[in-house]
Amino acid sequence: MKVRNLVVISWIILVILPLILAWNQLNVVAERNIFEIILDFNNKFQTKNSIFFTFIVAFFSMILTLIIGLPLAWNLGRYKWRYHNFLRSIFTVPFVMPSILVAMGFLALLDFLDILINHNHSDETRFYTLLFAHAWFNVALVIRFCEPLLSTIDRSYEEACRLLPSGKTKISRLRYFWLPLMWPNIAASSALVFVFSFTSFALVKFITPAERNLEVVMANQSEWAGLPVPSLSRVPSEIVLASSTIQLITILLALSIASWLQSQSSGFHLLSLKDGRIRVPFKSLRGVYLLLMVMFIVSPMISLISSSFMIRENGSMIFSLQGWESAFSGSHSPTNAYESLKSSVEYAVLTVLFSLPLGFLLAESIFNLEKTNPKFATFLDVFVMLPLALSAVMVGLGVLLGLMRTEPDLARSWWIPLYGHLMLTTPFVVRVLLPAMRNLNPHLDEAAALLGANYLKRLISIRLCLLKPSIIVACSLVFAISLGEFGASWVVLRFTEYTTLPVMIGDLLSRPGYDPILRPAANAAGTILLLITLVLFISVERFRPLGSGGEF
Amino acid sequence: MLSCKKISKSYDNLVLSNFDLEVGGDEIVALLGASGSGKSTLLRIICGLEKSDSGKILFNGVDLEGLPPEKRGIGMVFQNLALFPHLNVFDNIKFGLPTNNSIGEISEMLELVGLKNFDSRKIQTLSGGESQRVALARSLIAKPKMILLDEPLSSLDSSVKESLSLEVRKLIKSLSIPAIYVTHDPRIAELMADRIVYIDENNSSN
Repeated sequence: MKVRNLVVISWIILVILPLILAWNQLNVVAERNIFEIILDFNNKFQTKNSIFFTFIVAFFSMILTLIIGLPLAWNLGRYKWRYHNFLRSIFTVPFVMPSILVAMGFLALLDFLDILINHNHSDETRFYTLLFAHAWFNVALVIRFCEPLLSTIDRSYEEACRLLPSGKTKISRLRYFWLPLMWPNIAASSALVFVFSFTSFALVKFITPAERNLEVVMANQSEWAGLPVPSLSRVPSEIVLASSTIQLITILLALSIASWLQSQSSGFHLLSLKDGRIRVPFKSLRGVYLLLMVMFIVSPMISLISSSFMIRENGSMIFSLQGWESAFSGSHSPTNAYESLKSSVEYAVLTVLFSLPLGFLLAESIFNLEKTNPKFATFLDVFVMLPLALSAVMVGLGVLLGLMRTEPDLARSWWIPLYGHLMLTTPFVVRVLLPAMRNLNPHLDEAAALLGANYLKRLISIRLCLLKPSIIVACSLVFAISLGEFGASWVVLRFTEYTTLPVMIGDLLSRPGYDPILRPAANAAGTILLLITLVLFISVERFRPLGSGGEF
Repeated sequence: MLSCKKISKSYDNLVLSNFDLEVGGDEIVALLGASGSGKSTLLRIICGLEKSDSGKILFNGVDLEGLPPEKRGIGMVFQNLALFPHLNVFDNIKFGLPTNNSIGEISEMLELVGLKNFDSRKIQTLSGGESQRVALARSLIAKPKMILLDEPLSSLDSSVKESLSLEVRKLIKSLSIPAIYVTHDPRIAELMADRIVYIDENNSSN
């Protein structure tokens, strides 16, 4: 059997097995059938209104993200100015930011708002903050889906449009030319924004602590769900079973729509290889707008960093290094920042080492199948994305419960989070490498074969060399996602000694009672994570292949 | 000597149907035909990059069926030349150099194709004619038992094309190996080849 086939089968087992085992475990403990549980879902005090809240947040976050993201994508795609690439990096950096940092950044902003205008955090303010935090996090998705198309459309099409009766005004061109052209990309990015907002965990948990979406509901019940103690775990198991079922069906539906819409866009052939952007001066109204958007993007990050040097005393904020001292001494958390960072980096490095070859071989299998068996290639492509359709908490729970079913002693092993990280990051490797493989000139590999090079030599000397920029991008993406991964790690790690930096931050933010050091300590640990992610993103962005977009 | 017997190949439509071709020991055959007539497909089948639906290919009496491209000892120059963009001229040619051969052969080959002192040049900086010479040098340094050329001059202007055709012919003749040159330009076919084989939609040849 070929290595590639083995990899595909291993991936299927890796993804399916824990989920089936977890499902089975929950079913055994729950004692009722899934339909009864779902019908009864809204009557439990632990889950009341959570479905409504989840849908409302996902829907309005999607709308707000489009309102903010589309004009940005338009400006980045249609115009070019002096600081274009630098600004583009700033606008796309939020997507690689660990979600727990986004939550902390917006909480720090709320604190400043509190000081500046003496405004208390009402539930309403927190709800709107959550929507803006989701928009901040997902705006890069809209840019990545729409900007490459806008920047490579041959200018002559719009010029022809202007000379025709239906394209005389900006509105009519928008209506008859741009929207019909762009809608598959807009709709596909909307579907993904909806999915990411639907499965948001850290943002909902910390920004709106009084509310629960399905993801938070599942994480809250994760302590008891699936345990073989029916009196304690029957209700949690029912809740997790119903939440995960509702979530999975909704997400699969949204992703199917996104996939179908993306396939619709392949019918357009208006792209040119030339850069279609128009050079404009930065000192203009457009420049002011872009600077405002830069402020929107950087303000949560600056708030987070500055808050780590502040401490609240007698209702006002004063400068203090106590937060940093606490973070590094571990006086308010089970571990200190050194240990947590070491643990995070170890998990991230191991995740890269396993995820990259696995993702590469999966991408190569799909790429080869596209030529010989396109239907199976499409199936495998969708299947590889399955962990993205599941949320991080679901993956963490699946791994944990699946293991509990088979080998309870293993459930607290150090490598368990690695399993979850591997499931969550490998699809990103495939999404980055597969388009790059499709763009390679197939004759290069054939020419090397005719010159006598065997598979290994062709792989090392030709394919890997040519794919190097995409491999670097994939590595950094995997490293950043693993480093900042919170949902699965929170479920799996929070009661073990292998605490990562995000889990340490989550622990500091979740402590009951008021202690003025907790938030600055969490912000200090968050600042370390933020700076590492920023340096990684900025240093790697220059390797991104030209015209790349739409696939993270 | 190459012998193709009753080669058939179809994708959505029939491309080659019971096509026969023989190429002698050091003969250069030009395969002349319109776009879509199956010329390039035939070359890809001969060198093993594609499988025929039916038929047989014998090379020096050996059936090539099942032999992977890297083991056939047949070189090919692609229409888009397929020069490795991440390697310079020297390393592109070195890629074709058999393991035990001396590095010095690369300089000799560069001189032979008229590209002395081009060693460190990046592929992107070469003109069309220069790129074509590098592609040819890379294929020839592997010491193939036969060489296939799939319209490698098609992107050049006609005056360069004609002079380069003669140079390529001279070079191949000096190595005494058989060659198939695919083109849709009758003038180039006449300049290059010892014999011209016409291939049309019905794959009739003469």
